[in-house]
Amino acid sequence: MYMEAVAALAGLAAGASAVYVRQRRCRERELEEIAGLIEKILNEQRIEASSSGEETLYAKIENRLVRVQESMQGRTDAAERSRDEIKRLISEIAHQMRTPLANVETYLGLMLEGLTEEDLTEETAAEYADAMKRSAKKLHFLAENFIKMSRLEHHIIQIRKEDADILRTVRNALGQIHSQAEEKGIAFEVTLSGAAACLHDPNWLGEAVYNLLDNAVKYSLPDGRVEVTVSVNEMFLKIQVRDFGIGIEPGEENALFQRFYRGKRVTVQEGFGIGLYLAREIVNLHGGFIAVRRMREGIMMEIDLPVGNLF
Amino acid sequence: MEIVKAVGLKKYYITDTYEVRALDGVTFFAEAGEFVAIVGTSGSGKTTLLNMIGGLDVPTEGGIWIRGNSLKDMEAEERTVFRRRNIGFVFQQYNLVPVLSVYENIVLPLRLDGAGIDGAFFDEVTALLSIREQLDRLPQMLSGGQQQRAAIARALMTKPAILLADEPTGSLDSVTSMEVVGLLRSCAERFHQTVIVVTHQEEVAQMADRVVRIEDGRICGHEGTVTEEEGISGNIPLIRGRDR
Repeated sequence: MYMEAVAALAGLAAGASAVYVRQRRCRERELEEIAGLIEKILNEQRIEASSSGEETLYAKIENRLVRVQESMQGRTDAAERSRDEIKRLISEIAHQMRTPLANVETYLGLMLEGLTEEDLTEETAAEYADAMKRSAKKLHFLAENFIKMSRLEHHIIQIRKEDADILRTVRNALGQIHSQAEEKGIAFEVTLSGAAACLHDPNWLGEAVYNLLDNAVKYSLPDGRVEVTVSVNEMFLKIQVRDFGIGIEPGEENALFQRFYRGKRVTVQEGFGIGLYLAREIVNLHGGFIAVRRMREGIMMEIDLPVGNLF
Repeated sequence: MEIVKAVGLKKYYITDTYEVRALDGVTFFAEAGEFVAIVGTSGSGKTTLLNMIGGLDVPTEGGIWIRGNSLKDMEAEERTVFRRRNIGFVFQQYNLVPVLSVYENIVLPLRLDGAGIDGAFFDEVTALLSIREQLDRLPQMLSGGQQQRAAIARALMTKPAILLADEPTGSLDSVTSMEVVGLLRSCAERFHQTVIVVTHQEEVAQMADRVVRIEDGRICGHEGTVTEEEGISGNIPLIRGRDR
């Protein structure tokens, strides 16, 4: 009886250790395979999940590793695409700069000639000066955009959130658009309610708001009005810019935010189609979002920023 | 890198008396990390397409691959596990279990998977979606927007690679709709997920990186990343997406 009990226990013990050893070997093998997969990822070799359907821990890890690789690859692809697009924009802007530069040179030359030959009338001089002024304005505009695009290219959009007053940021942007609006006779109706604490980067967010205001003025009809509202609800702080201008076609809402897109109804207004794109990047980096709504007259642009300290 | 690939999808419902072609040869791709909107009117086939992608339905013809894995070649059980691991769903009707609290609803998929609950992640997601105050309430006590946000939290809990949303704002008012889609986008960006949203509203589609239009079971248009020729020249309106 005693011997049988001992034999049974010994049998169990032997069985258990055999299972234990086998399990350990299994685990070791799996860990080696995982190490192999990670090695492949580091060597930039594509890995594949061979056991997707299984309910094991190994399958889970394998699945996650494939996703890590996809995530890395996705970023590389996106960066490459972005670089190519920027390169093209830069060459386009450089090309566009040649004309106004040439203009300035031409008129300067004419002026100097006129002065040397002493047959330059005041009238002609004024004409030349005006032409040069217009070219200078275009150059300025191009240079500004060039700078914006460089920032994008080098991912110099680093948002630094502060406990700044959002109403002040909006007011500053309004201040910047003031002279442009006056020139066109655009009146602003501003409603700023509830100063909520909203962590944001006043410089970058100010630029985003400015871009919205700039568009509102640009695409408004002369002597029109633009409504600006700031309000808060339980989740978001909303900055709304409503214009009554040329508006957009149905279905253009998505395209509007794409790089280089100009609205279908745009005719003479200048622009490269990057203001809204930039604004969206900035707002997204703040953890918020930007949306457009077609209205019967014009459009309503809205920036929503989360109130709270999460992003 | 394509995370979703559908080629020549067809879904026909044929009986002696009628023939319905819900999908009539649809080819669709989505890259990892993209936010794609599939826009179409009621009956255009958009929900059918989404169900195919989500493995909830099988095509009559055509193939569908999620991250290189062919869904068609999987057994039903394999597909279920695969779906649970890789895809999160958000529906128009929220589909929260009415007898469970919001908290229990959100962690349900994790419990079904036998997985542990990552407390920090749970806190992060529920805070992002502003539903921490409602965790111990029953779904019917929440507003539509809050319920949908809880549904999104549930979809995010298993950290899926892909989020599929079928008219997520269909039951919501216009203001709440924008907020919900905005949140969907923010969360997806934050957690590096691919999102495919089916909708009939242009306002919702605007948040997407790319818009695919479907009508009568066929893809009829793409809008998305601008190509150099069309964009640089200036006022050319129509932009080309990823044509294959």
